[in-house]
Amino acid sequence: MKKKYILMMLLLTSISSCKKLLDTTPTDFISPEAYYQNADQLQVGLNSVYDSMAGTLVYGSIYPYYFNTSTDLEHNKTVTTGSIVYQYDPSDANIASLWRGIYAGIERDNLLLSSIDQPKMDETKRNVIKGEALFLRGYFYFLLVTNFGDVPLLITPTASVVDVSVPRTPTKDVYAQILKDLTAAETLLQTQTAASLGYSGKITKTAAEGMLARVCLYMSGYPLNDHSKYQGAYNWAKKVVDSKEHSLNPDYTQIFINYAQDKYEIKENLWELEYWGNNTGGVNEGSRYTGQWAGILCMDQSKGYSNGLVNTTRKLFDSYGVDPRSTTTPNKASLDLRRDWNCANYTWGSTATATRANNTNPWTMCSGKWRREYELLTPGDKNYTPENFPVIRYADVLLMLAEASNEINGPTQEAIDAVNLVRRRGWGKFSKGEGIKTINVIAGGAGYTTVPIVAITGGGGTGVVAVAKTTSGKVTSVAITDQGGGFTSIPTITFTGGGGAGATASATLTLITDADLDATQTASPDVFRQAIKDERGRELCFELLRRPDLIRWGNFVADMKDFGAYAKANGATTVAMTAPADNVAPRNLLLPIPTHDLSVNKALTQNPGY
Amino acid sequence: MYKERPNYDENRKPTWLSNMLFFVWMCCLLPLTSVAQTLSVSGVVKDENNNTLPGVSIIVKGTKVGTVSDIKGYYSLKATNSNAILVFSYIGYETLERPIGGSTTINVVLQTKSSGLNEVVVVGYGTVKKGDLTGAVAQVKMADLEKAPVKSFDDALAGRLAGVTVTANDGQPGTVNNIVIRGAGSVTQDNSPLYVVDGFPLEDGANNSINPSDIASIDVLKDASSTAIYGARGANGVIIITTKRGKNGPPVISYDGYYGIQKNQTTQALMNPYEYVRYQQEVNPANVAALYFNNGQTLDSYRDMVGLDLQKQVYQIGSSQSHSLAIRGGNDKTRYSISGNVLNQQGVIINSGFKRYQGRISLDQNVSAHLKVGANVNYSNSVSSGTIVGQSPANSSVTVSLLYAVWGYRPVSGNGQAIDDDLFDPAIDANLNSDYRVNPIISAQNELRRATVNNLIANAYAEYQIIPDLTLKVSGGITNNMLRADAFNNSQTSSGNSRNVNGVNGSIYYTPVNTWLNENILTYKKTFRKDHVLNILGGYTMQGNTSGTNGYFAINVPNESLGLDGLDESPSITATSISSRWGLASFLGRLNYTYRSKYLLTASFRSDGSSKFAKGHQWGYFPSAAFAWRMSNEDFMKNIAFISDSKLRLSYGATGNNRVGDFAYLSQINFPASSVYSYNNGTPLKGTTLAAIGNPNLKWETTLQANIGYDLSLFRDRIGLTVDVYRKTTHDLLLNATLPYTTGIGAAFKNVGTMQNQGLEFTLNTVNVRNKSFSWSSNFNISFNTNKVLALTENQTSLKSSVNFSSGWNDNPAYIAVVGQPVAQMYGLLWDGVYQYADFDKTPQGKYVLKDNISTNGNDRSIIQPGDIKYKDINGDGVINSSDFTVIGRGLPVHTGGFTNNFTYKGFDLSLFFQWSYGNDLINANRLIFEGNGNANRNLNQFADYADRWEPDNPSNTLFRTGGQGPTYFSSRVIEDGSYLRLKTVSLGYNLPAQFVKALTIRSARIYVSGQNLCTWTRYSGPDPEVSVRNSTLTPGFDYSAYPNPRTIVFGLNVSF
Repeated sequence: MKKKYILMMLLLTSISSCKKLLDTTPTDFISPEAYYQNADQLQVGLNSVYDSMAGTLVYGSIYPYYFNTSTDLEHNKTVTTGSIVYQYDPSDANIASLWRGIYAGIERDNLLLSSIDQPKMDETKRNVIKGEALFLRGYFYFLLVTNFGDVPLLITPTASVVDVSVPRTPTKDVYAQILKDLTAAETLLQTQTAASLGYSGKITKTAAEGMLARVCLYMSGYPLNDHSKYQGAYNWAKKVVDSKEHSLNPDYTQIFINYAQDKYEIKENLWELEYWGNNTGGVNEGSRYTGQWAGILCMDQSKGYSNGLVNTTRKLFDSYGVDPRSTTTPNKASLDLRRDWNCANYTWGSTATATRANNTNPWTMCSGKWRREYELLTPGDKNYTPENFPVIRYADVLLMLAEASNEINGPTQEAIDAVNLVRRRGWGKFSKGEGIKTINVIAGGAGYTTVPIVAITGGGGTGVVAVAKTTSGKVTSVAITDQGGGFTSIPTITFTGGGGAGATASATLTLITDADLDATQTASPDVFRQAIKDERGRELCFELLRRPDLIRWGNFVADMKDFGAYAKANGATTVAMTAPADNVAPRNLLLPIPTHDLSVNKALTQNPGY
Repeated sequence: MYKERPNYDENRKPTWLSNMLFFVWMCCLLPLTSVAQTLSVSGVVKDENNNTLPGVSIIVKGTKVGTVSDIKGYYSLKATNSNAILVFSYIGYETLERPIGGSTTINVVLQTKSSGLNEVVVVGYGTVKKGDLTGAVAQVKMADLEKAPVKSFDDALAGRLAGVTVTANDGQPGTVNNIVIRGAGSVTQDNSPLYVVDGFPLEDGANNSINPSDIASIDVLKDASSTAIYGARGANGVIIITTKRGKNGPPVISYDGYYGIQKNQTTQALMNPYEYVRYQQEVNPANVAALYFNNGQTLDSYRDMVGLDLQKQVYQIGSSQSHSLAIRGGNDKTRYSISGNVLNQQGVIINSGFKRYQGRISLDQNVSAHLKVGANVNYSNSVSSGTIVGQSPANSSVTVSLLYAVWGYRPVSGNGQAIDDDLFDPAIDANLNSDYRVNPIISAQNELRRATVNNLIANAYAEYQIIPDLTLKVSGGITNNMLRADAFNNSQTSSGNSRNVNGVNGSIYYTPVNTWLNENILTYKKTFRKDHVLNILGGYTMQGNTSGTNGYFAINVPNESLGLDGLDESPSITATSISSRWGLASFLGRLNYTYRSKYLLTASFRSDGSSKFAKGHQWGYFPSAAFAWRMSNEDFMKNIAFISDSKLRLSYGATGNNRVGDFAYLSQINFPASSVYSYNNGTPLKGTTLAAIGNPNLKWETTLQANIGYDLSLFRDRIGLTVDVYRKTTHDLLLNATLPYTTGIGAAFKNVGTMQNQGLEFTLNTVNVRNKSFSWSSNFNISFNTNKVLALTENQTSLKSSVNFSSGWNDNPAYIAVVGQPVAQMYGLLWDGVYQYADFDKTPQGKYVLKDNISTNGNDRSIIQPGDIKYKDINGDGVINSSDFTVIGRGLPVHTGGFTNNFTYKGFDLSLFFQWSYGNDLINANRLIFEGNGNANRNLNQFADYADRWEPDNPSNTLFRTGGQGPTYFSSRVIEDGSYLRLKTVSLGYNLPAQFVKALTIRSARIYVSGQNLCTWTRYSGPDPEVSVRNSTLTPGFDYSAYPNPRTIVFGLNVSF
């Protein structure tokens, strides 16, 4: 009997401890249900959504490089096949990556938003986090709808891994959700402004307004063609302008130098994605695009390594126009200072030690927008840069305002002024000021055996380079090779040396309106529309807006084909330069739905042509 | 090795063995000699060869009366009555029963036991006589296995057993082999078997911690009937390892030691300086002019130059030594075993090796007639060191792999100076073409990679006989495994040099895994009415596990001379801290019923509750049943003299697989360093990452397996044949199922999908010759397994897998699992040779333009030139892209097997073991880089055969022109037949003559020479066909920069005192 009792005891103790044995608790991770309990945890949740947006799969590398570097303004240096040049099918790895990256961000965002009201906390703080989160979800869907068309619209976190088949929501309804999210964000973010933050790495009220303008503008164009939305685009853009939160940086180049130097320009930028550090210690917050793939070729890491893969087209280069008086060869100088910044006319060479080499071929110039040589961080990572990417800039808002306004009321003065403001800044009117436009010889004088020096005094400006020309001892003309800048009044011109005497001349100054569109460009809504389109190219090239712009303008395929013909007739020599135009087809208006999802989501359908 | 019985003649004195047995039996019998004496019987016991047998136990059946034969084989005893039966038994011989029947002289001849139906087979929670086995259990012949000079048993297991596939990833010292029993059942989860070491189930074996010479037996449970007793962990088969324990008798001290060399077997033939410079001239003429054609040198200057071949520096003659010492003995009450082993292997690649110190103590004590207790402790400290040669590069650049730098190193500098003195070759800049290689010799010498494992296994048991037929065994144990992984990269290494932003870096990680176990088993054994034998077992067990990883990684370490101790000075340290746990509670039961040893029935059941699932899904139930018909015991067959045994076995049952994360049923968020965001240029702030979406409905994966087996033994076991056919179907796979990315995550665990394995196993044991001085016996086994994926998740028809190789190729899946086809197949383009001139139209300007009806190779049509690589355009659209991918190779073999031959001649013994794999393909990714330079790197040497590439006057259709490699695709060009036949182990031994041995006052001594991996017959062009450097169920047989399996030859000595 005793034995029996012992056995029973053993059995009983074991069975009771067995229950405990199976009741394990994880200590190394947290369940989503147990998180988002306070303001800090909501913020941590939000950080990861920003991270998704800026991460490698979306803005950090895949989206800019593989899907936005083949337009009429830019092309890849070497690539002749694959997604960069519109050769992709549903199994394309980059397409799957982009889709994955965006939806991962949406899931993070939905997790946060589903718990946003959970913590007891300051409502203002909650509203800000909620506003940013709604904005980001809206913007993720905007990226999806503009690239993939109809997409599964998920606004709650994934509840089950078993039932995962979700059909596509029509483009129109996706846009409706985007407007809803962004509008709500704008309301919630009334207190968050660039000025209140002191930097532009977070969503602010004006960022939401600017983005709403963009969304409305896209809705007005292809494929929805809902022209009623032009008014919305105008109103939102106007709201940004009227907020007086923003203005253009006087110096176009400084915007981008600031990115390289980790400085903020809260006036110019409505929202920039932040990149940071040199990818050491397991923290990979660098960008592969800004300054690296889209940078000036340089194999010297101390100077700032760049593969220089995103190159310009002649069309972009020529779009800036030239200074008719320029005598430089083979490319005349341009009065538009944006040209030589965006189209880098030099590289640092393919050698381990950087050696500056001029490049005069507009087909092989590197995108010069982000320049690693300005970076302050040392050592820099070879492949990833800390340079921020501007998702929306004030210049874009001005051009959107003009575009919407023109569609509604034609070329109004407000619209023209907005474009001209951008142009004036591009021409250096706010940074360099006015220079000397002409020097007219009044009296030739006599006895000049050599060319006299043209001396310019007064007027407040500097930097003018003017060269006199003599014939038979007389000064006959003065050519200006650099008009200088900073003149507030007309300077005095004298001629010294050259052995002669008596020559006199007077100067005229450049005008701020020199940069403005001329009357023919604003004569009708049609010509003004074209002028705005061209201005967007000059101003916003490499900022990932060209391809979506061409698509929403409704003539993408034909525009690319026209460009292809232009390219072949204008010096495009390699397959890499011509392949995008050759390959582009109507199906490229949308990316294919990735095979990965098609194979495990029974409700999905494919886009036409794939 | 002590089983060889010396021949006796009448005048000889008994050897130690008979002495010992005599002594033991005398001890046993001493108290019994006072039993009443009525009848005196005597006689002589001899073996088949007419030699007398001393030490044979003779007992009067059903009594305690008995004796042992003396040195002349003579015995005598007193029996109580003339109806009594005498039982003659002796180790290694069949037990013989003889009725006295009134005789006073009974001379008998004992027959040797060859395979022996009475041999004991270890099964789950017990043992069973081989003849009574109903399931499919394979037993390793330890005598054969011990002849291989290896660090752990799994190194010698390949080809030994039908149905057990053992593959090495490569030859990296200290790595453990992949063992798969009867094909992989899981698609995405681990398919390695459950290890049961001295009764302790271990999910990830401790093979390196166990000294092979401590192992008494290895039994492999294959079918559901035998594995279902391990329930939720039985689906991948079970390997039961039983270690040696003390035996009755005086202390036996044995020493087994060997020392020998390890040598690399193959080197790759590389281009000589002339071929190299000529090739580089085509790759980059400007570069070549500057580097090689200065000081008036021309291509011809290189014609007879001898190049630098770093293979000569990276490979070394390694060594291998092992010393095992054991003392075992015991008496009626106490049996003990103490053993220790020191093993040291110096690898065939510089600065690599494996070292182990190991000790084991076991003790068994009879406390009383009813109570027996015992304990068993094994401790080992092992250190694997050296650059991990075949590892997947962290930054997914092939250029950091060790053998990349070795094979690709420039054979000549161009300026007459040595180029192997410095870490950096001035001509190679990481900034150009992402070529990160450095001098591999200097790097390998400076890199610290050290994995130290301290492993403790401690078990104890108490066995209590409650009533004569009922025994309770309570046992418990712990295993503590602590891995410490050290890495240090100083400035002279490939990842710590000045070109890397991380600078000098290093890490220390501790990974403790602790498991405890309690088992309580009741066994009831009873024979009813002579014919009915019943054996019932029931019990419950509990097991718990905790695991974790903690440590840190430090970069830009300022004082590299301090090594690992200087890591704390780093300005940037990334810490890791992880822990997890599981618990398992189980109830089990088994019934064995035997009727007249003719009809055998086994039914087993196990119910497992696991913490790995949510409440309501924790318990899984795993029943099985087996039936065996031993027809040789039927009357109709009993009289067929040449049939010793004939048995048909049938079994069916369910088993499970628990290889899923400890908390896979829960959604997880975590905060990795990769998910951070910097605002306002501040230090990045943590963000949440959805690491997993939980599946609360997750449950056990179930494998149903049917087995039909047949055992036949002929001519008194001289021929033994076992054939098994099986089909196992795994349902509700614990599949890391692909999810739509719209869920926010790429995969989650779901019980979906089905996979099937079916196969045939065939084992033949024969004793070909056996006479006084010469014997020859063979073992031949072959296994066929075909695997088929029956379903995946949702409407998924295929699952593609990439391997981490090189950025260009990583985007292209190298493997595919297609529903209706095997789980692992190579995937890519069909290679179609090289474009020839005929494929092109020649323009008036002399340019070659690909004809419209000829497909591209993935490059743009306009840049394809004669000599470029060509692929088959499967969909006929004129261009090559991922739509043209197809199955291009077979990942799994058609059959594998082994063939052992053992010969003895007088004191000599010779063992030859061949092992093979047939029908599997390999991806020879080395050729992507070194036979055409797939990444188009400059200054990269190539394999010698690429010198014969396509050139205008050499229209090769196999090797494309310089630069003609096309885009980075996997294709059938680099798929090779991985079949091989290998002379795996040869051992030649000599037992020193008895007189000589005796003179040295030792019991026995054997000297031997033994070799491993001696000769391989294969068509595979890579260094070694036994390779799988990115091994998983989905991605077998990938070869890139693999550590070669060395050839080992050792000289050894076995002595016992």
